[in-house]
Amino acid sequence: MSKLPPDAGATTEEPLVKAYLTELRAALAGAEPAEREEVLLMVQEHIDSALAEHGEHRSPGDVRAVLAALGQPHQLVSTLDEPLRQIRPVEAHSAWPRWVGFATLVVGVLAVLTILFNPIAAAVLAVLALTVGLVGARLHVGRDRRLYRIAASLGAAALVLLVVAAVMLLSSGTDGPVPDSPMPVSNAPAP
Amino acid sequence: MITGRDIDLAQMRKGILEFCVLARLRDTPAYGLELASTLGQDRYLFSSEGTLYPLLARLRKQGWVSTTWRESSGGPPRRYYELTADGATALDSFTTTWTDFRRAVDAVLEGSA
Repeated sequence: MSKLPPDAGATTEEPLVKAYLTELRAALAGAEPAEREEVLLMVQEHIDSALAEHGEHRSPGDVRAVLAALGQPHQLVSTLDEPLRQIRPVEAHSAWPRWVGFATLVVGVLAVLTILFNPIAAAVLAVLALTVGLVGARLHVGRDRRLYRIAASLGAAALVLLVVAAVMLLSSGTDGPVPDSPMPVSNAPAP
Repeated sequence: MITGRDIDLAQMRKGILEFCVLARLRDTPAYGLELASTLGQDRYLFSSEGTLYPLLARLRKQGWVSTTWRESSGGPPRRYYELTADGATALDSFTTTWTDFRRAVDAVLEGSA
């Protein structure tokens, strides 16, 4: 905190102000000492500034109005009970160890790569990457979630490619040479 | 005497008021009395002007607000409160959450959810 200037607190000699600050100090008894002193200083400055606006001719009524606007000391303290919540970046704890995410990603990549060499292994890897990826994405946030999402997408892509390849193979199978319709074979002598 | 409305407001204010303070400081630093009188005008937000100071002490401790002294014309020097980079980040984060939260609450209240 910046240093207090020498002439601050000029109004603390006002009996009403003095009484108010004493009451506030008592109300802040449960607060951390540094926090208590800081709040007291801030409130004192508020009173100083507010009364300075009235100049030299301020009346006890002016002082009372300033203190009334500030509120009862116990009202001020009621907000201190709540700790200021920490806002953390959305990088919460991981449900699974980090390596699981990377492993799932590798499985997804392998699924795509093995399509041409071993479609059955590719299908197994693709289902694995898709399942673990989807579950992992639900359980994680931030960078980890992205990892699982990519793995799931790779698994899904590999599965789609496998289905397309299977359909193409099947349809090309039906386009193959169709056996000729049987020729009637007859030994019967032509009429 | 505490009325039902007071209880509801006290509950609702928790966790929101400090971001109202940060939002008020977003564009320009301000001194305590200035902050207190603008924020204190709306009794829905601040039950009294003094509520501001425990919040400011917390915000400063958290590093979301910093303070500097400036001379004032015809009065004691004033402590100005200023939003820090961390404070700006926290305010952005709150603003996003608040927008979604408000939309969700409105949807339920209006019976469309």
